[in-house]
Amino acid sequence: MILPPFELHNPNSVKEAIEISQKVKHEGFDYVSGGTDLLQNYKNRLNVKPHLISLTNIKETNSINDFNIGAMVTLDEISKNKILQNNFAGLVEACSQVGSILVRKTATIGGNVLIDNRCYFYNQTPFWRTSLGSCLKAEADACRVIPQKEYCVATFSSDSAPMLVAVDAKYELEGKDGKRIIKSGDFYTHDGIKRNFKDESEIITKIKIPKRTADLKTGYEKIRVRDTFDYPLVSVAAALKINKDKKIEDINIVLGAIGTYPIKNTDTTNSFIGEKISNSIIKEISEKIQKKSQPYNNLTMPVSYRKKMVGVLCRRLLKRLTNS
Amino acid sequence: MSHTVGKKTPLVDGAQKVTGRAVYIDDIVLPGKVMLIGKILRSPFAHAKIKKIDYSQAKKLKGVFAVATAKDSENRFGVLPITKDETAFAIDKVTFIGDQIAAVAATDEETAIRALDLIKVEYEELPPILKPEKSLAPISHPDQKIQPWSKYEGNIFKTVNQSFGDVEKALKESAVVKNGKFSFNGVTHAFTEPMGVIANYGSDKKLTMWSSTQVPHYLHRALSEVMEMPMHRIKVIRPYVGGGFGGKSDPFPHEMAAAILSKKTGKPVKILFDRDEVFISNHGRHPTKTEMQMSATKDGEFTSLEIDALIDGGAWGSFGVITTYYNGVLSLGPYKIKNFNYNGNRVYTNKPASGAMRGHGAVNSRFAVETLIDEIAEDIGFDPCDLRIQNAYEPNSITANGFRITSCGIKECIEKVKIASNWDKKFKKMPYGKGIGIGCGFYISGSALPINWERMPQSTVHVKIDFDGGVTVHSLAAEIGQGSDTVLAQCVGEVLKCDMSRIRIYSKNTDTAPIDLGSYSSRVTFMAGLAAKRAAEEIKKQILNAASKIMSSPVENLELRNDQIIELKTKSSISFNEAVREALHDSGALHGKGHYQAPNLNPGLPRVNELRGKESEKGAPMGGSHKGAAAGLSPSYSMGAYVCQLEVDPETGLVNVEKVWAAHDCGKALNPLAVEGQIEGCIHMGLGQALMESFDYNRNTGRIENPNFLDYRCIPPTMMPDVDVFMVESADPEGPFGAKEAGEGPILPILPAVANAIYDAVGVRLRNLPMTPEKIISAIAKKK
Repeated sequence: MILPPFELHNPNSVKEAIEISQKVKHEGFDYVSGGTDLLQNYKNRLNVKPHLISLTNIKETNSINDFNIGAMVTLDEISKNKILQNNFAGLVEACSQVGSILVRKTATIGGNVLIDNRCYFYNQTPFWRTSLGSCLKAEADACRVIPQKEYCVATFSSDSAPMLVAVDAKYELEGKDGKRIIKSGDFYTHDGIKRNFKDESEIITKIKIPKRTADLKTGYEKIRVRDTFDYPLVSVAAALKINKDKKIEDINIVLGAIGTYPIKNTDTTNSFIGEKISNSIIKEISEKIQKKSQPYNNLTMPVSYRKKMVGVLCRRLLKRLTNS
Repeated sequence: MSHTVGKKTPLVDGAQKVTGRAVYIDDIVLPGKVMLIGKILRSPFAHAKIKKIDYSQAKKLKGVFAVATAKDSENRFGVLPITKDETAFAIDKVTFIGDQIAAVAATDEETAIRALDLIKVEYEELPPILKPEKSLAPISHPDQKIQPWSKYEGNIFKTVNQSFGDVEKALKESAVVKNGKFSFNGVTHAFTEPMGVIANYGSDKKLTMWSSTQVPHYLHRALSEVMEMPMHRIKVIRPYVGGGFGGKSDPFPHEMAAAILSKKTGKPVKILFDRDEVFISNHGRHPTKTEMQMSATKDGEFTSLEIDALIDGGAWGSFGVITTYYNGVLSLGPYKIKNFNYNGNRVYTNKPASGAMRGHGAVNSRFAVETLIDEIAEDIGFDPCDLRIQNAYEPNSITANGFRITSCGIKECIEKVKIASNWDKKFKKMPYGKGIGIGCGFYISGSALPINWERMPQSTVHVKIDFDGGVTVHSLAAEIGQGSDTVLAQCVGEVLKCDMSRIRIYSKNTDTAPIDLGSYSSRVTFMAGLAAKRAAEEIKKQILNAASKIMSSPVENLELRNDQIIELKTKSSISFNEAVREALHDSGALHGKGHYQAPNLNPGLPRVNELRGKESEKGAPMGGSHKGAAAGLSPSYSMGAYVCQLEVDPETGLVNVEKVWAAHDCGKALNPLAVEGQIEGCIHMGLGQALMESFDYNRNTGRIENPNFLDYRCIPPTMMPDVDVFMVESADPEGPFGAKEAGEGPILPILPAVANAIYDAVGVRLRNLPMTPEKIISAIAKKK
């Protein structure tokens, strides 16, 4: 399978990258960092743009400074970072389970939080899409998962984002109108095509982790059939604060690979604040979250299985984090 | 160095491969030529009439040299001469999603892709027939017939009914009867190198074809028929091949398309498949529904076996006649089963064709047999290993259907893995979630009846030695990564007792290679190995005669050893080269030829007129005289037993296979390194089918839903268990140096061993493959 023709740009700074984007925006462009996800979609002729602006040469975004992670830092580098290992174990767990080791050596955190949503009916070859028919997110005008023409339900497949949302991390973006900072939890939309509120010209430059994360217990669990290569079929990120009396002070549980964006469960979990952690409380929380979850039938495992696994993962993760 | 066989020998072409110097189809550039790139237009419908094809716009596109369609060749071909149902391009109607409609030759791939978009095809859609059950039903309109030529009712491709002994009587005498309905999703080979071909039709009106194939000879024949050219004007070259596993053992339409395009343009044309095209070409293991019943006495004697198999062949025949037989008869070993009924139907459906795949025809039925044996064992209170040993054949036995089992190491295999796995301490004794299970296998070592019923050797090898002292071996056995070049070199080296570095294998080119039917049905080591051994023996005689002259000693006193000829009495010696030069001095050429043809078939065997009862090999005629007696008939049978230990997560259904103890009776391991590799590779492939690999079809359209390696899941290296390999050497009386096959049979035991271990771990019997996490947790939930 060959890549389609495109022009590759190699800017040396964020500013230069944005400038190039403005020059070619009328023809269409994509930013690319690791490219492990985007280029595969290009090979499948999915939403191909004539210009690719590579962020690889940009030095200003490729390091970790304390709780600020440059967007071009690879997932492998995050997995091995001592400060994050000690203070944000959940992110290390999430990043070290992305794809395969080959992917993690190349893929970046910026790319992972922006990873395209996935769907059985979308991530297919052009020939595949010509038989039976293509979908909203590719070149046709109807959804193949739910027969309707309004919105796309492709699955949000980032491993790092649910964990970042669970600790209320922020993304620093830079675009033609300058810099801004947005909460990760407010960044994503319900639409599997639009996916997020990033302006076309904007680049995520930094992931900002709140200092208080160090006081939380964080963890990440996911189900995939193979322990490498596979995208998540369902995932759970949790951030907890348990006080001396074993009471829940703070709890955030975010689901990945279930809907079109990282799904917060604040309404469910808030009602448990102040409760003493116990096996029965953990069971109750997990069951409630499982009951509320609504996977779409667009990955290779049945919906019923994935829904069941929400509860299993939730329970296992909470038990692990609280040593219950 | 006195022996070359029996030694761990790195593959002779290994260094070329690991250093990136091996030349595969994709690497081939013809010097001084403009090579065109071919791309194929495929049907988006599973079943439709082709009303019109308009490629005028495509032809006008700059860079496009030719467009080919069915008009360019309507000749039928197929690997079995009795079921030729394939054509280069679909004629009048398409029969599966991906059927070839047309092909374009252009200056580059991008142009060819653009040209395909410009070809307009008008279809009249027909309802696709996707369920194999539906194909059994009679048709009410000719349009419903997927392949019009088939002589059976409905869309049945082949029916086999066989009965041996008296099952009804046996059932009356049985204490336990177990039965079950099993279903098996299709799986595919997942070889590393996608198919690829280069055709070059020259101004001399000769055709050269390079193709990634396991069967250069069958390709040669098919090209001759499709292109209407005599075989001597066609040359097939097999470059390095990145795996086959049965998936490259048919002649293919894309090979015909390349030949046609090259003839039309007068230029070389290369077609390389994308991975989804490999899935579309499939020819993988048949999706199958199997009903099976097995009975035994309370003393643990197997009394009867009944099999009813519905086999989904997809749109073409391929090896299907053989598949239909194998689903039954290959279940008749390694256990003594006197009473047997088999009813098998292979049907056409509007899906990509199924075909031969490692363990061809035997894997699915084997899974069911070995599952039922464990159920019987539990019922009558036998240990599953002991029950298998009790019923296993001894050497020199005849099966109910007339298979001649010569060497037979099955009992030793079972004993080996039972002891090594510490079975007695583990079976039924491990905590919930942990389990151990056993499975066995039985497979052919080459088919005694060749695909083309002709009196022609199944393998021939030529050996030549020239003044440089180099030993050149010519064969058409296809090296596809399995080590066939290496094993031929070892066989020749063992006879000539010369250094392996002297031996050069030429096995790529039909112009210079003598006939060999190719690399399928686990035949190469046995058949080509024997041919190589015989060719070397012929040349050895000439060398010894020459040495006898030089050394003035009778041949009986001479022995080849370590690149020398030794006079046994005087202990004097001359070098290999000295003897060779003397021999060449007298003759100008040192040639040896050897061939193999399977032992006589039963003279009473109907229909195989040319072959029956004719003299070919030593030994009494083999096989029964009933219809289909030659199917599954092999000069020798391999067998094996595996124990698998695993852990099931009862909440997620995920299975972690921890360890496999694998014993395989390969007669004699000519290259233990390769045998070990084959066994480990078989376990990898078998675990895939057992746990996760599945060819998923859209229920309404027949489209393959997962034609990529993300959604079609093979076992990743991180999930491969530890494997302890035990090579059991039963010294086959007819195989080369005692050897028999080790390439396909070793896949059989692993699938049921996993299922039986899952039962031991969590108490559920799974009868549908793959045994995915959701099937496991729902079975556990049902049990509760």
